[in-house]
Amino acid sequence: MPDDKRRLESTKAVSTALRQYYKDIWTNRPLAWSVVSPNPLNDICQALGIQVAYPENYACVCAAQHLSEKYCTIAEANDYKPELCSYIRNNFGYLLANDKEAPLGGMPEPDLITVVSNACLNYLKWFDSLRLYFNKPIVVVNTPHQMNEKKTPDYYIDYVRREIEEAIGQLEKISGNKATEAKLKEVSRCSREQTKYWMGLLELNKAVPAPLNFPDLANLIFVPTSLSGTQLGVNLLKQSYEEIRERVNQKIGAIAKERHRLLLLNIPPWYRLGLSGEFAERGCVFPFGDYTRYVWCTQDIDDSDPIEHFARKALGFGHGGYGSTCAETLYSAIEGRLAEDIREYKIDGAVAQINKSCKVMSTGVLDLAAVIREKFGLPVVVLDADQADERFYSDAEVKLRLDAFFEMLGEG
Amino acid sequence: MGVFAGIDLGSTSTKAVIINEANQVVGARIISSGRDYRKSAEAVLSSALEQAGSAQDDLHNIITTGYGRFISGLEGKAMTEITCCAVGAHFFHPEVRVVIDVGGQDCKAIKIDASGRVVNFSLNDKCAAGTGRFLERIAASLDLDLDEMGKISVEADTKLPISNTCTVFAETEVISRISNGEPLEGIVRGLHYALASRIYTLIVRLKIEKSILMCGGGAKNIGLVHEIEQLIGESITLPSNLDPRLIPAVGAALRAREGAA
Amino acid sequence: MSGIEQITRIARDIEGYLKAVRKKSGKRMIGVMHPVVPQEIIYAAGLHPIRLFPLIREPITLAQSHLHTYTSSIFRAIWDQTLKGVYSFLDGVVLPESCETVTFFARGWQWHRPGDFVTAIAGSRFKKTENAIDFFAKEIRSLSLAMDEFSGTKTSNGKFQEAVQVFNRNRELLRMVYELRKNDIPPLSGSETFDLCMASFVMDKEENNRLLDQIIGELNARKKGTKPKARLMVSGPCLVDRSFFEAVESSGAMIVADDTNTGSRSFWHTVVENGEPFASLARSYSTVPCPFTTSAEDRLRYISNMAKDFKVDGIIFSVEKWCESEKMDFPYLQKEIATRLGLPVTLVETEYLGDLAPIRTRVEGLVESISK
Repeated sequence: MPDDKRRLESTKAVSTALRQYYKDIWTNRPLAWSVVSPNPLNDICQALGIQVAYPENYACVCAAQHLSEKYCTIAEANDYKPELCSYIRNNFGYLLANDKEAPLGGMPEPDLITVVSNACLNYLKWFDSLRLYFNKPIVVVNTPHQMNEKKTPDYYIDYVRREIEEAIGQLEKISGNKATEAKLKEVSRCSREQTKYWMGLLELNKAVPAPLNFPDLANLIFVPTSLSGTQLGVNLLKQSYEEIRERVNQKIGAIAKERHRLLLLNIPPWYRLGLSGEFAERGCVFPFGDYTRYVWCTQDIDDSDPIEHFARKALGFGHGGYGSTCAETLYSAIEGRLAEDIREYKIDGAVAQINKSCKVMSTGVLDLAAVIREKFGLPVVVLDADQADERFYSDAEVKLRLDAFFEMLGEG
Repeated sequence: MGVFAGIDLGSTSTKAVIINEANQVVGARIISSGRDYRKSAEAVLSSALEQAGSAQDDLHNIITTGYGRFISGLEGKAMTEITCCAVGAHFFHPEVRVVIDVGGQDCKAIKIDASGRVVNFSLNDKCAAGTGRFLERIAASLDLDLDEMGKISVEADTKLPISNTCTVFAETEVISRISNGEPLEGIVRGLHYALASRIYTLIVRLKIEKSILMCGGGAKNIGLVHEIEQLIGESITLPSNLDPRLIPAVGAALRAREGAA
Repeated sequence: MSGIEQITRIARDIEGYLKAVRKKSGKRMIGVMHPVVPQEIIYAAGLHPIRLFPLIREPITLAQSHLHTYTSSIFRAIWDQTLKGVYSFLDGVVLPESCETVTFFARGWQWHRPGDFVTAIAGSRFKKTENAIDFFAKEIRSLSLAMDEFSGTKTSNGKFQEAVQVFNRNRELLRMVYELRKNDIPPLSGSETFDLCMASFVMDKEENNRLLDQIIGELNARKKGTKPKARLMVSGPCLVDRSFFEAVESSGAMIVADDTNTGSRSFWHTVVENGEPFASLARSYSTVPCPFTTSAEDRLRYISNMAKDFKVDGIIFSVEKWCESEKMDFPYLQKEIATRLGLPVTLVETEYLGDLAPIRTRVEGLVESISK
């Protein structure tokens, strides 16, 4: 890829941390299987010495290694229907395949399951199924979606606070450790600092040329999702932040000749990350996307009261927990965050995706694409694919749509 | 005089259009694609050149389009049929703002502005009975050709509901209705309506704006054209004096001429 | 006209019926999705709650510009018909926190139809703790305030209690109808039950109660038919097409029980009367066994009890193609039903205006294996 030479140096440290993490999940006990979202249970597990593993992230790994096709097929043969999210099918397919040579050593069986409901309904259904599959205890924090007012009512926060307190009680019992004030303060501090660095490095990407492109962001996603609440995560993001800031000072862009700055909507197909190279060849960079900017680390939350921090973090999924990410992004497209970001990031086009697996990111994307075209006068291409199921991806079809889009940009 | 070629390599047919420096269409040919795109591209090009009374040496530039655009073996750039369709449609009908291309393999709706530039496009969903193949298959099982199907459809008083989510299921439904003695005209019209409603969803995504042109093989089916007109509540322009399947090739030829300058 | 004829007539033209009711009563109508919304709140505020379903049989066209194909066809059809003005009699809608398609509506509806009254209510999801019930109760209170604001009233405790009584009676009567389906020869078929439920979900509840009372008498007096070839249960989300039930029963089997949003899930619970209304409603409605609020294990309990009580021979999971929450539970439910109940199970996929031939084939296969 032409922008290979411009990959961030600091992502090497992230890759090292990732490989270590896949060793840690085999050695550290107790082990929880959890969801990534903005999930305070992951921070709390960190405080209690519970190692956490993430089937979602593992699905991305399998997809990137072109194995999710095999796992999805096995899952479907066992009645996990093709209409289910491909992360779920990859997960069950992996479990049923009993692969001795699974990527990165695979994922060991958990001692417990932890889940928050903020990202999607599938989280609850999937992880409840895992509970039944492994016959292990589950800790659930319900984080309701505020679908009416713009401001989250106080009683939502009170409710989630109590949910988290109950969850801490359950986790203490399982781990045999106590979640002291000091430990909780430590992990909430780390959670907050990671958020600040994540938000910060995305802010830096407003610079022209953009110092950071999607492949590096994809690499960095590992940190806030899998190293939540850890000082290691803070250090890694700080390192990347500083490297990016230096690039901004020296006007080093992520791609050779930046001519177009595109908004990326939805979760990319993890088995085709090389597509970013095709964009780079045509001078197109992705300074931000809804997946990288409106899902995790979306707001700086005071951490003086850890429980409050965790409650607001969980409720702060997306644009503030108001509903599905896509629907909220749509709402903010005229005024609000997306409108501001399109202006400040100097966006001149968008690549949207109907992602078969993810209703959270896809439901409403057609309306969102229409608004971006009509209100901002920007060209938008809508692709039809899946985040992890490669069988649902047609190279010819995507190429046709992208070629037409490049022709619209004058890069044909 | 120099000439310029546009070659459209589609799944069913391969088309060539030759234009001269005065932007006149001087040659046009359509042949069956077969399995060998290179062979078909070569054959259709030389046939069109012959018709134009031009030699290979007169040919200054080629643009290829369609699914087979990268494997024609011909020298020249490739462009998507989305852009080429827009250029071709605008050339003949500059008042057109929406182009609907119903081909064998896929279906597209393209929104263009007053200068013929593509501003938006939508293609058929996966797993949709929204392509020409839908009608072709069923026509074959009814032992009718598409022209006959179209005529039967426009003369039908009623339309029977036929599933439009899957070609195979639709075929089963048709067979079952025929064996129940239900009227063929109603079934045929129902089929056209089913395909038209899939296509309509593509147009609606672009926001309907006059005037609308239809091209591709589907445009030759009066039954289909009629049902789409009923759904959008507007009349549809059909390419005048030209086989509707040639529009993208015309666009490609025009682009070939621009590219040579 | 008998009660059964009256209710069937309503079911066969719900659109026409509601337009007439709206004109006659002048009571504003509020649509709700799913059986998890406490309709008592809407009723108590002097409004007429109705369950929202697609009302006409027409291919989805306009909705496809907003909702992509990989979402429930039922909700796309509802949205399509909203855009086409089919629900002209509707004054507003209450959307529950359920799946992402419905959550989209909470924003999407307001986006496209800013003049409509749209409000949403979150629930306790999988949690049945006191904390969760307390939260749900607060949400119900918020819903009540929204209804009051919309209707320009202040609902009294008396009105709440009255609403609870009316709805409890309604649920009881529907359960009494279902009770008759436990008979060896049920006096009404699955398709007739479908008509009865769908009409009941939109009628004024007091009028519906009177009609159901009458119908129960008629059913008790009905001449016995023939014993069905097999006693089937259907499990799935929103089955909104009578032709589905007719297709299943054309095999000679009879649908005697269900676990669906358009069936028993809507009325299998009872709200405590004379209690604090919001808490009582929360406690009761949190037991509605929709997959988006209920774990697979709790669903298994519900399905197993129903299968035993109704002496079911086989279960058809009739799942909308894109309904992930139902499909997620299926592998577990199928396995457990086979091992614990020893019942044959089949899965059929339904789609709005979808083809019924594949469904018929699968059901006939199941019935043949049962009848052997």
